[in-house]
Amino acid sequence: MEESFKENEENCSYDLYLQEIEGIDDYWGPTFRTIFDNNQHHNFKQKLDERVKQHDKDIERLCNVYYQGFIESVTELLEVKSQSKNLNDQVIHLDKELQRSFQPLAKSGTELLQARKVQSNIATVMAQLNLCLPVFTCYSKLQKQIADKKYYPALKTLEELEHVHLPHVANYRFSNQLCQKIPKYRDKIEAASMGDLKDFLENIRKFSPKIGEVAMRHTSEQLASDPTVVGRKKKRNFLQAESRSNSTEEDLSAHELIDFSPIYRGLHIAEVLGKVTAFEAYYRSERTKQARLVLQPPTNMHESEESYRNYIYAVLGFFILEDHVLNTGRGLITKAFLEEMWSVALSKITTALQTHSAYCTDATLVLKIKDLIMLFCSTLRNYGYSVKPLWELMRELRDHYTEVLMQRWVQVFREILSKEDFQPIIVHDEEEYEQILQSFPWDVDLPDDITFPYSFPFSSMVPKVYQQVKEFIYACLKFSEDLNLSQVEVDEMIRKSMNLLLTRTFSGCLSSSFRSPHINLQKITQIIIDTGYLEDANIYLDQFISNITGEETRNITVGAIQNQHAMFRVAREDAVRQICEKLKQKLNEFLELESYDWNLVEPKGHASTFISDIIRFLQTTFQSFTDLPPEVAQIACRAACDHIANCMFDMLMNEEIRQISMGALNQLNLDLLQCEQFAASEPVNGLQQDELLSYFTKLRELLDLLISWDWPTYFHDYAQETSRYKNVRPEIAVILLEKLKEGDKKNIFTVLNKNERDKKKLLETVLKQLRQLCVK
Amino acid sequence: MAKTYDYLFKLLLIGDSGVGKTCVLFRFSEDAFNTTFISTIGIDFKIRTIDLDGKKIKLQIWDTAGQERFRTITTAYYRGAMGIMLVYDITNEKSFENIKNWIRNIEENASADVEKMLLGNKCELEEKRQVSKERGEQLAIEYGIKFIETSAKASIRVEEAFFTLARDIKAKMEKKLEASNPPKGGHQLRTSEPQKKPTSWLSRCTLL
Repeated sequence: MEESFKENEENCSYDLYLQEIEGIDDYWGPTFRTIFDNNQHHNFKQKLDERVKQHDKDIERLCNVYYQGFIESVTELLEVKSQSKNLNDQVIHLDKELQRSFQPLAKSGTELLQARKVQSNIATVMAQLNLCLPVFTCYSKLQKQIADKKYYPALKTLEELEHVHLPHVANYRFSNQLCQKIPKYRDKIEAASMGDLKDFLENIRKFSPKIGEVAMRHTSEQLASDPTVVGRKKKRNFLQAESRSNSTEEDLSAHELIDFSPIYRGLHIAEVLGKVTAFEAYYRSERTKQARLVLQPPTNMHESEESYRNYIYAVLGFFILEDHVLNTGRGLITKAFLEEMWSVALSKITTALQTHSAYCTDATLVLKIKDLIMLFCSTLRNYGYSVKPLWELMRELRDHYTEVLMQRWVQVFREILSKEDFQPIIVHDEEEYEQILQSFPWDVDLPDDITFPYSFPFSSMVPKVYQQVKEFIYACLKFSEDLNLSQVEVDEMIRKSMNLLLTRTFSGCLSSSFRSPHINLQKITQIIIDTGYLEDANIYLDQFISNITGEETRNITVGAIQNQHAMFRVAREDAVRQICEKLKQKLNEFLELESYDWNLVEPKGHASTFISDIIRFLQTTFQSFTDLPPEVAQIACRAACDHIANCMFDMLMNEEIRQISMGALNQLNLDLLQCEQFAASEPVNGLQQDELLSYFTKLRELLDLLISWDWPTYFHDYAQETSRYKNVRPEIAVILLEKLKEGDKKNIFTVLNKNERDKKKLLETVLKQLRQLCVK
Repeated sequence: MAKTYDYLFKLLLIGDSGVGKTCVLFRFSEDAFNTTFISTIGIDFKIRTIDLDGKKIKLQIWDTAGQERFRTITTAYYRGAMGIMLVYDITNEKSFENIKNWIRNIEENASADVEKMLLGNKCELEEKRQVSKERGEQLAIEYGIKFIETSAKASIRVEEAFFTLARDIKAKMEKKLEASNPPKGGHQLRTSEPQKKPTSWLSRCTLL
């Protein structure tokens, strides 16, 4: 027992130690010391081993108990692990999916947000815009109106804009700008309306000729349908009817062709802007300038009707427009202004037309100008303008027209005369015969049976000229148409013109045709005959005029008959002179062949060849020209004899011939005899006996005196009417005696002859006496 | 008065009316042409001076009317003529046929030794020709005279015709002069040269 106890006790202390060790994780020192101190460590070690064994056993058992569970748990855990991994994967995937599908949504969300913001902005802007809109509408209206040139509404719009709309939007910058622009717009409108006016002015300047033209046409139509003038101009009426049907497209009255609105508008605008006076002034000055331009005729106006027409149209158009403006322009121009302008214009027009028509040399053109001016006057009168000076102009133009006609007929006559062969007309059949008789009134009893070819006494010039005179009368008449002249006036005018035409123009042409170098005796003869027939036809022309004018053939007719044969007197005298001239030319050609041997001792016993040729030629000629009127033939024959006598006398007196023989004198005597024979043979009917001989008297007496040496008689009868040698002037005798003396000197042998010596002495005495006579 | 020429030849133009005698003469004297036909009345003449071998020759050319009614008047001129131009129209057969009548006229009225020449005028109208050149030549040979075809209008050989005729007359006359000159002065020919006159006059004087 004590031992047991003691053992017990010892056990207990071990336990405690164990507990202590077990209970405390560290700080095991003290315990171990105690043990060691007690020397128990062996025991304790044992004990501790025991204890460890016990714990191992406990652990082993515990482990056995829990092992299965552990395994199971591990298995389970492994399972969980895979599952959790799976789950994890799923979650990740899901997350990804989610992420992806959310992305667009998120984007839309952002956008939506943006849109919302914009929307709200727009709403704000719209509200503001609504406020501004009237301004803009108004502004655009303004622009449009300006663009459409509706300046007056534009002005109104501008006002509206300024006073109604702009104040609402004053805080905007554009509004400020607009405000600033408004005065500019006003200026612009004003400028534009002025521009329009300028355009308009330019336009009417271009258009006014057209207006003039239309107005003239209307007037002419009106005149045509005027019953009071219809009778006088049927022909023209017809023409105009035609022209009217051609121009139906323009039945507007003249001023309707032009749109005057720019003026009215401009005037309105000027009123609104308060600038009416400036506008008026501008208009008037511009128009005055235009008037100056319009009234300036084109420099070559006289060249064509077209220029005249354009000029007149332009002037007319201008004043029609002005008239219209006066009537509708609310005082834009005043009557006084227009009247003043017109009076200036009228004088200019008159001068211009006067000047230019004076240049005109074409009758048709003058006629056309006349018609134009007539129509111009009528139209102007319709518009209430006075046209008096133009009527004066018409009278001047009429005179000019006649003048021009004369000139034209100079050409016509020249043409006829130049183509004329001056041969009697020869017709080959009835038809031609009738034709001639129709074209020329031949007042003669025509034989009933005529044989063809038939020869008229006159040449083709006669009917042609007769027809032309008629044409001339018609042409003259054309001018007096519509001129509202009295019948008497027309009649007088035409008669005067016709007389002038025949006596001046035609006669002049005839006379000038005589001067043509190719005219021969034959032609001149025919002309003389022709003039006779033309004069005879004068009475028919007179009737012709009376028929046209309806005037009785008055006293003029009687007068005309009286000096009928005086009409071409000048021309005929000219013709006769020409005949004589031609004849003389021929005679001169013969005389140039003269070949006297002035020292001829003995005459040939017959006349010189050139003299016999001359005489034969004269005989033949007067024999052949049976047509030559007797009085003309007489004149010609006288002229021929006179010429021959003078020429022969001149030959004798020729200063170059200093010596003449008696033989030569005798030859001359023979020649003179030949001439005298011709003179006495009555080569032309109706000459007084001895009339032709008288031309040779002077020469005859001279030759007789010299050949018969009859000086005593000469001196005895000197200066007496009955003297045989009364035509021998002593001076002439002296000259010839000197020549004879010279001629005698040549003959040296004569000195030896007593007879000759006596003769010489006598000659000296005669010469002395003659010289004394000369001195007296 | 000094003479301005050495010889004076009187030529005559005859032929039917309208063959162009006046025109031929007009061409020769004035070198011009006139288309209008004006038949000559009676007789007319033109004078032209030509130069032939240094001699001035005045040609006084008588233009006769071809018309029958002037025949008596015109035949009176044949005698004085020294040369005669017989003119026909190559476009007018009749005018050619009538040449022999004209020749007969010459034989009856003109001096025997007159120089003659045949002219076929209007030779420019080849397309209207009725008388061949050969026939003209033949006829001329028959009468022993010269022949030329002329055109007054186109101015073909007119000059030549007159010059030829003038030359022939001159030759004939000079031959005659030579034959008659040695024995005595040819004062019967008024166409003799003026400078010969004093000598002839002197020779006559010595005879007196």
